[in-house]
Amino acid sequence: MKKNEIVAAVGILVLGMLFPWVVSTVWLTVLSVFFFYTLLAISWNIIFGYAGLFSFCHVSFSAIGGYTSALMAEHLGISPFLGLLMGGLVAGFFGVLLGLLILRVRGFYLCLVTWAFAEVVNVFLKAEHHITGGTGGFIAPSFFEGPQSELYAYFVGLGLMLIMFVVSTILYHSRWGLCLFAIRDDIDAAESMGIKTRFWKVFGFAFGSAWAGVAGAFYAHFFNLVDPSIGGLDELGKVFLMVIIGGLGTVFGPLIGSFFVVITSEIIRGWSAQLSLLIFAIVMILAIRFVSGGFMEIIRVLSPRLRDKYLQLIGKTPPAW
Amino acid sequence: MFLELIIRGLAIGLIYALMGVGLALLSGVMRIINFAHGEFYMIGGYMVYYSITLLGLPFYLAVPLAMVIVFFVGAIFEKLLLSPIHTRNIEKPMDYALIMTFAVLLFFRKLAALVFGPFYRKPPEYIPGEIYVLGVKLSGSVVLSGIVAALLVTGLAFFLRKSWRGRSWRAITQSRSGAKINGVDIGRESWIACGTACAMAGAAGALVAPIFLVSPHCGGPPLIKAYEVMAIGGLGSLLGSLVAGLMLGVTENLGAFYISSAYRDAIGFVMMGLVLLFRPQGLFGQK
Repeated sequence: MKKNEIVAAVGILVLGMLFPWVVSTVWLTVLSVFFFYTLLAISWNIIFGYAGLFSFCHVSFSAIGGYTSALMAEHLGISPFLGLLMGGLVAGFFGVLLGLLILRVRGFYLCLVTWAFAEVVNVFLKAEHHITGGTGGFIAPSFFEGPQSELYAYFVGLGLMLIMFVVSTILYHSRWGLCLFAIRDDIDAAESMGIKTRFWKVFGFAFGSAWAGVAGAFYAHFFNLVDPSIGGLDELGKVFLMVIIGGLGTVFGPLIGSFFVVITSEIIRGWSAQLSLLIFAIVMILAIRFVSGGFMEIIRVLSPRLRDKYLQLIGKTPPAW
Repeated sequence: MFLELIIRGLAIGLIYALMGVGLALLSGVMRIINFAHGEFYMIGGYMVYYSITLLGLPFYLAVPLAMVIVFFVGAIFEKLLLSPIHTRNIEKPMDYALIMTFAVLLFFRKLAALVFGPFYRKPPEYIPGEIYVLGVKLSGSVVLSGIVAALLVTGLAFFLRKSWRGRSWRAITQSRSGAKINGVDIGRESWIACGTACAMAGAAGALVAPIFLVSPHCGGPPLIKAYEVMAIGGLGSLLGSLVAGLMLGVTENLGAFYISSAYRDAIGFVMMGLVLLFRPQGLFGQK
């Protein structure tokens, strides 16, 4: 991990610990939603931004994780914390199966197969209502009982998000991450350099999917409810938007993007709930059209200039390069 | 009963084929997956609804009008949003184009919900009363939509085979640089092709508007069907799209009746999955 990444992780930890004493409980819920989306955005970034596999069924894995955890808590009586693990494992298992299936396909067909999977999951969740509760959803127990339960659940989300962030950062700088980048950039060249492309494809896909399952389980136990809408197109659109406007394939991108989207949608909700996704769609179109790198590209372009300005302000000449 | 299911399946299959043909054209000429294709279907439906109820046009003027409007919406969509991605020379333009069409899907869907309201709209039946086909009673609109869809698909096939423009589109599908060398203006042809493909989707939406009704979310199911049709028939193959559309329509109707209607939408996916596993290039695709 680089210095600025460690600073960011520690900063998030400190701010996250301080927030509950500063803001009201409404914002705790908003921030927990932010943790949920950040988990999804970072894990989609691992699949698409790192490994270059366009996964159209990312939120379906979060639905799988959420339903697994809720169903296990209902029928087997396991605790929600074990449910997080089990949701992740089951989603990861489906990720491995689907990852093996998509080994043969590239480009167009990759998208089609993952999309088909997403739709099948959606149809299943709605049709098998005696198991999943249908469109009404399924009740899941909350993490903690008692008056402070919301606060503790918030800390669970904070911890999960930090772990996800650190894992994705370590992956970014490690040899494993390099293998994923090699597959993304040129799969034939990667194969000829001796990288086991089949293994890394499945690994990248299943790893990201497993984290989506954890996110879904967190959502289920935080809101005490999972319904088929968490595997729907609107959620997927939000996740795409977060990663795209944050910066695809970067460490900080999904974090910034999801913070921006969740906070903005909370503000927009104040005057019109209808409008938020329309505005986000416009933002997404403009972002792809004009700044395809998102916030991270803007920061990368601006930061040398800002540093020069700062150096001028304190009376030093900027370095020559 | 069996005959009735098959005839109904064929009628709906022709509509699927009309959607799939447009997609096949788009994926061939422009090399994109268009997620917003179902939204042009929806726009076509709304245009026909409003031109019949507000302007009082008869259906044989309203459907072509809807097609023309959707043609221009599609052309503008290509000019403004899709072609700049390819000319701006960014990495992986295909993926960005894909996400762009997804954003356009969300945009049109939410815009329609805002402008037209979240209600179901139903234009009046195009042909009131029932028609007997081979002893099976069908409503006039179903028969009409099937016939017009068949005419449009064959018309497009003739256009692609005989006219200069159609041949140039096929040339682009085979090799972009080869077409360019032989004097095809790819920039111009791609917006015309995109407009045509969208107009096909708009026609499908306009034709079935009295049967399936129009709502802001009505573009979802036909989009899925169109992709299944394209994957089963083979990417960029017109004949494949037609055959696959008919196959899908009939199989779905039979499956919904004999197996389970709750899993009606899953049948297409199972078919698509099997085709992709055993014949990845599709039934009529070349590889």
